[in-house]
Amino acid sequence: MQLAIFPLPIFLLPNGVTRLRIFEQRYIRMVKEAVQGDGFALSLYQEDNEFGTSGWATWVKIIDFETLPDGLLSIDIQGQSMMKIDEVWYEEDKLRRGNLSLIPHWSPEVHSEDTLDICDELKRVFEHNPQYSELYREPHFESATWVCQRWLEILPIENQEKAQFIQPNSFNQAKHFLNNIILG
Amino acid sequence: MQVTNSVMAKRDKTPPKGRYQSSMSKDDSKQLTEWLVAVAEKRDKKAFSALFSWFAPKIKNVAYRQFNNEAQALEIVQDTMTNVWRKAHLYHPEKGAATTWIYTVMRNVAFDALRKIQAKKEDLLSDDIWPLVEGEVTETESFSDYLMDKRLLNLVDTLPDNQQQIVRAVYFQDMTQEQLAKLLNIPLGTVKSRLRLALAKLRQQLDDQSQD
Repeated sequence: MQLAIFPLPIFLLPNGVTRLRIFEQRYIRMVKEAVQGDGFALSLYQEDNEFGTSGWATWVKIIDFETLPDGLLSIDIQGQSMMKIDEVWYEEDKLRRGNLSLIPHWSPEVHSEDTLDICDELKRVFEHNPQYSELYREPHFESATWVCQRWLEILPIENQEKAQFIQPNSFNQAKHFLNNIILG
Repeated sequence: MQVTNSVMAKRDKTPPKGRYQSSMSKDDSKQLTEWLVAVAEKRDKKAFSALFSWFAPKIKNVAYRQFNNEAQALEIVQDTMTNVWRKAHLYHPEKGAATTWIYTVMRNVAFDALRKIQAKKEDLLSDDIWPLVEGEVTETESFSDYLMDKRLLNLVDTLPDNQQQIVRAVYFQDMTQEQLAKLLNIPLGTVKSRLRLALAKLRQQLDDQSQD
């Protein structure tokens, strides 16, 4: 699949939503194309890579947008799936584009006792942060997968650490990890 | 991070007349202080957005006069407002007006930009720039460390390809360690040690796996 690639220091998993402000011309073009087509790929920015991207990306679609009073374009993007970046190139305006292939993330998991506790704490995050929770029109607290994914996105740890959890078989690791941090 | 009604309501009003004039009413000044405090104490993105709308055109004008370059002026706007977001907790209303504080942040950013332009002939890029940048974002308390912060700023400024522009426009979604501590109702020190321990355990697990 061919998609525009946007490297940012943002860790986003499937179904995660985040808001971006866009004002560089090449990324405005990317947004225009993404709205009409297949979205774009959000990749973790990596300086030591030739194209500044990581080897993987999150396939995102634009679910909302708004022109802010200061003239900047604000978009809400939602993760669809994880992807592997097979090839990257620059287009004339320096927009990166690449060939990517889908990779699976965690399968749907039902709650266990500890994920229910983790879920309660996430509900509190939502309650106390209206600007965060307004991004989610349909939160899926009933899904242990969804709850753990959201926690990983917002935890104050480095993105390189978070990147361990893009592995399709890392759900249990993530669960224990979150357990250690959130429940102590 | 909760948006107070007063902030919301005021933001929705039409901007006061004379907004772009240098003279500012007492009400304006009070409003700006409220916004800045909301950013500092609640990481209030709506208040930040309001500050952005107020200051961005002014900062851009000043920076444009100084650098005579549109892209550079926009970069100064981004850098300044990013620092405002990150350092808002260092602002104390009793020590002066929000405007004064924000313009001081801008002046420092402009100085750094000048230095950067002068140093550009030398190759300042190093491989570990980015991890440092991310490390800083999570280690909130180091923002009060002037030297570290200075170094960070310089490093961000040497990022190739205007990468930082959008990066900075995003104002990272992660919660801070302080926010996590407050949410879990445990001391900041406990949050830090839990994070450290959990990461150590994770690394151990991964090591074990790779040896299997």
